Amino acid sequence: MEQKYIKPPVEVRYRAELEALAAVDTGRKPENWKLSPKAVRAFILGLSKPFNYNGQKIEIHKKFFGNDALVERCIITLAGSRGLMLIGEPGTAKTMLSELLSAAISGTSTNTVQGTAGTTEDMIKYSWNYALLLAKGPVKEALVPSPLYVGMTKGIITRFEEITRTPAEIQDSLISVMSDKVLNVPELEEDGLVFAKPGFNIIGTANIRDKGVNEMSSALKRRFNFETVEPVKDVRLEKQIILNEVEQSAAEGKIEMPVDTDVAELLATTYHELREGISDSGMKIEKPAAVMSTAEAVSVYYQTLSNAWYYEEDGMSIAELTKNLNNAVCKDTKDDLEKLKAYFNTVVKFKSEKVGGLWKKFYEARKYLK
Amino acid sequence: MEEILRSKEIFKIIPFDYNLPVLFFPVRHHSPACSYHLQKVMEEYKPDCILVEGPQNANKLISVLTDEGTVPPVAFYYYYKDSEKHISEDADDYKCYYPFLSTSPEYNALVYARKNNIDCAFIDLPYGEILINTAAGKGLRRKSEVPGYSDDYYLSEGKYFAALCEKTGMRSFEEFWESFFETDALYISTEEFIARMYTYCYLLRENTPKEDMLSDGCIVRESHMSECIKNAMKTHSRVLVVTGGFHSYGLYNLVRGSENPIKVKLHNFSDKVQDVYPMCYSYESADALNGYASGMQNPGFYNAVWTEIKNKTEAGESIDNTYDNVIMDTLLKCGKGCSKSGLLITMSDISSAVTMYRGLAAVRDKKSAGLYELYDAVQSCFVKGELSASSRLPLEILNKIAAGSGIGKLSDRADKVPIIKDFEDTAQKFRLKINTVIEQKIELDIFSKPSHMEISRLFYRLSFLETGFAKRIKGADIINNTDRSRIREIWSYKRNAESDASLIDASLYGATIEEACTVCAARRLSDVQRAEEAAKLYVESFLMGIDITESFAEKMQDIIIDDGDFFSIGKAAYYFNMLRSLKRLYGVKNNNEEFFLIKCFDKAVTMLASMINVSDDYADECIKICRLLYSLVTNTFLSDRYIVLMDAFRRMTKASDPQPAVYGAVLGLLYGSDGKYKDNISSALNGYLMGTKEMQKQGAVFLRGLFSTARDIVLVGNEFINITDRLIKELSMEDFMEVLPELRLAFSYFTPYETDSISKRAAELYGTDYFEMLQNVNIYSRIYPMGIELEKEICNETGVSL
Repeated sequence: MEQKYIKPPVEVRYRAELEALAAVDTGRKPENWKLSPKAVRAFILGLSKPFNYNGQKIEIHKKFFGNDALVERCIITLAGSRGLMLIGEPGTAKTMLSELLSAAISGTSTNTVQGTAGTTEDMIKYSWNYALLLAKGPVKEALVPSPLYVGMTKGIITRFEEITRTPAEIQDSLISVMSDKVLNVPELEEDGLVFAKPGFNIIGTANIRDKGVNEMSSALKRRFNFETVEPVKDVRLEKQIILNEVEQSAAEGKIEMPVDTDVAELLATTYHELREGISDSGMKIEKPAAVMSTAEAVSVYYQTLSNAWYYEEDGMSIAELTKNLNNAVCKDTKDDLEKLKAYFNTVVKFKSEKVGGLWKKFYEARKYLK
Repeated sequence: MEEILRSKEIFKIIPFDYNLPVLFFPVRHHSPACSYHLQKVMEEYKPDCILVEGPQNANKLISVLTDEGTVPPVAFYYYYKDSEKHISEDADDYKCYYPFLSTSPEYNALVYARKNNIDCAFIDLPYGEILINTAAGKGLRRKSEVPGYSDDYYLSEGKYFAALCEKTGMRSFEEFWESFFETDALYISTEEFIARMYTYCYLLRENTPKEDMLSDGCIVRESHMSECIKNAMKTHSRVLVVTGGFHSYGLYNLVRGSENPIKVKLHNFSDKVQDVYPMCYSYESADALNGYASGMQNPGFYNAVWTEIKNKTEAGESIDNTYDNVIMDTLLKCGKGCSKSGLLITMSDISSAVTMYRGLAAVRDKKSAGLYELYDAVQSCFVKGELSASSRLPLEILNKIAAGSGIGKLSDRADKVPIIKDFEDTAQKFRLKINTVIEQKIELDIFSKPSHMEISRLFYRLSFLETGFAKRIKGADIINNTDRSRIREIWSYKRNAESDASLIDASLYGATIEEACTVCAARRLSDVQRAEEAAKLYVESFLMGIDITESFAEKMQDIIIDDGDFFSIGKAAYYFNMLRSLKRLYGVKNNNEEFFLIKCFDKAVTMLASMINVSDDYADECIKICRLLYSLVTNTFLSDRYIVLMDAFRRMTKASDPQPAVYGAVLGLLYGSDGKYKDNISSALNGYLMGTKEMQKQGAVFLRGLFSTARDIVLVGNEFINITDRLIKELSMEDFMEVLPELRLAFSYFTPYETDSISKRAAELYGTDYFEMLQNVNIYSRIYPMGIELEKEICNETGVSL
């Protein structure tokens, strides 16, 4: 029986799709890639028609929304000699994209370094099993390989999450690896040079809210191609993502409540308008400083749904949704509360008069903005 | 999509055969691929007549356009004055541009005709007739900053196109066009290219409702064009018709008689009502990205493609690598441009970008990379870090290269530049003496004589265009708020070569002074970041009497929204409020200033909360803005925002460590809305009174703020007189002298009558008679030394020291 996980890795979740694509893939592959660039593209951006494999109809669904060209650029970057750096606001699916790319190209998405303020050079390169080190001296057997070391020796992608949370001098230890594709382990003397196999590359992710915390050196920047992942621009798409994600989370959390498409639309519209600074009727508004990502919208919805499931008798209330929205938006500066209030006093008021329905209730709930 | 476009089944619907007496060649404006295949068709078909889509009242200019002395980009400027109200009761003036680039198939067709002595003509309805047959807001009557004669929108608008983009995974129509009709076109036969164009345009036409084609004048125009074609076929045996691809099927049906044309009766308009002029144009203006919307975007890039195609064709070489060569060249130029601007681009970046665009072409199943792969490569390999306004430099440089930078040249045989003609006509209309070298002076009674207002506007416009023609010597300056009471203006003016040269420079922005100012104002606004500056520009537009464009209004909104400076927003609100009150006087009809005033008001209110802690230097300015906001909700159309403003004021009063003057002013305004705030004011004042010496000094500052917005609080009852008295008594002489200027300022808000009334009550407080006080106020200089002497004597006598 297959083990149940809270969040299975991408290669496990989409095993059937990856196997089928690999079997029918006839495109040219860079060395050590599991799939050709075209098949990687198909895996991430989906195929319009299903195909037959092993007597089964295989459908490849779109997994990353909003910017097909960005995905194509990422794939070509990884086939070249430069690393790929995905940057963007929190909650824009950078990590998901890097997992999808790694799983499709190398068959694994788990070869990962998690960048933190406490990340040290040996976490990036290698460390030692001290019992073996004391017993046998500096031999390969005693070496504990890092994900980077593993990536180089196996010719697979290494993911480096939140790279800018790592101190700059630690980040710079990547420079020689990325330029010369070699890692030196001086303790192993003549056996100490680890040459990267074809297929090795690095996908870094960085959150632009951390900009300036540990700015990357220009030497390291030159070794990466940068891709800025932006929030989804299409409200319809955003609504669909909210619905999908909340339904999935609700199923995992055993919350047996239907997800309301109208509420999802209201939330998607609100997040979209606040993020873009303009309403769908062309009214300009001020953007809050807080993160207005789709992931945040999903979180607001799911929180409201959970609250209704455990505490409310009459289902989800717009008042509770407004309170959660208030808490999600007004975190960083007091100006955000003013901006949110201004949004209610202009756009929501206008919609409550023109559209009515949920928007009217939403406007009435403005008293909870504190 | 590709399968559909590759099919030649379409030739069963619209035949294409070199033996036919008439051939319909479908084009898109400025498309090098269309020009390339058109050239091949002309050489193969050898037409004896070439007919081109374009208003036929420009036929007289074909010789100028195709003259060897004319170098594209150039444009035809059409105008029509609806003084006879054929279009609407408004009797408006209309104008549009028809630009020609070296890549334009229409231009190349006409040049080919001249070189080969072939008859050629434009066959569309004259400009005025098109307008008369077009519904409001449709076709050539669509609102546009600078309207162009082009119906390219047929190719790129509507649900059909949106679905197509989604299906083919393209980001925009331009990317789709380049992919299917430009890069690919160099690898396919002319027949296949025409089949693609026919198919795409046929599908578009099938998905366009007939009512739309009727209302935008399409059917009427096609009817007229078909009549011209039929007439040409009477005297010629091989007629080549070069029109927008959308019309090919319609024209074919009309010419073969399967559809009946609509009869159009042409008017006999004089040149004063309707005419056309040739003028120099620039690549920048021709770029559809700039709002001119007449053909393909990025004309500089496609001009380079066309030059490469021509050079290779003339040299008898293969054109297969055309795009690769141009892209490489453009990439190197972009890299060089970045390095010149201080962003180092290494060979590694260049080689990475080359790998990127070639790799992307392969992943996207394209035969050759195009401009969109180049954009992707530059973004990925040249932009280091987050893609933001500050890191976009490589993309901005590429944009400039792709747009092109050249300016065209007109043959010496061309007529006078339209803007100069407009200037001379206007000067003549107002009897301004412009044919003299002596400086002229004129006094304008702008509010009582409409013609003087018009002249004033003309002068403001010419000053705005920096022609140096006119200079205001006296008159109200509403920007700097000086001499506002003046109702007359005195100007000096003189025409010279420099002023003419400046006008010709400005002709790039428009063919009339008004149009040039409109476009120029919109462009200047795009460089502005502060609301105050933007509002000043708006005031200039107001004085010039020009209507702002939609893009101007959009940008103005953006500036207000993005401006984080409360004082700049406040100043902008002041300007818009002032214009609101002046517009009747100046005869301005629109309500734009009210709209912007609302935006400024809303923005200022969201920023109010943090203004309570403003530094002392800015307190007066802050109070001024608070008073302005208050006056707006109490006296104007903004009264529905009264509650929102009062809420914001209330929140200000709850902040810690408030600036005392602003605090006093805000409490005063709240008192104005609700008398119960009197208690808050007295407790605040008591707070200052009971505090440390420093706090007591701040009490005087608080009073200054309070009296600036609610001086009547002192006049009602004695409570505030008592508190103020206590405040003054608590201060030592030294401290009193320190706060005296603040107190003087505070009481300067009262009228003399009110000061008198306060003095009376102050006198009563000390049991003194007010009149006695006044009478004893002056001590004569001769009595004073006597008094001192007397006092000394008494002290000596009594032994009491002073």
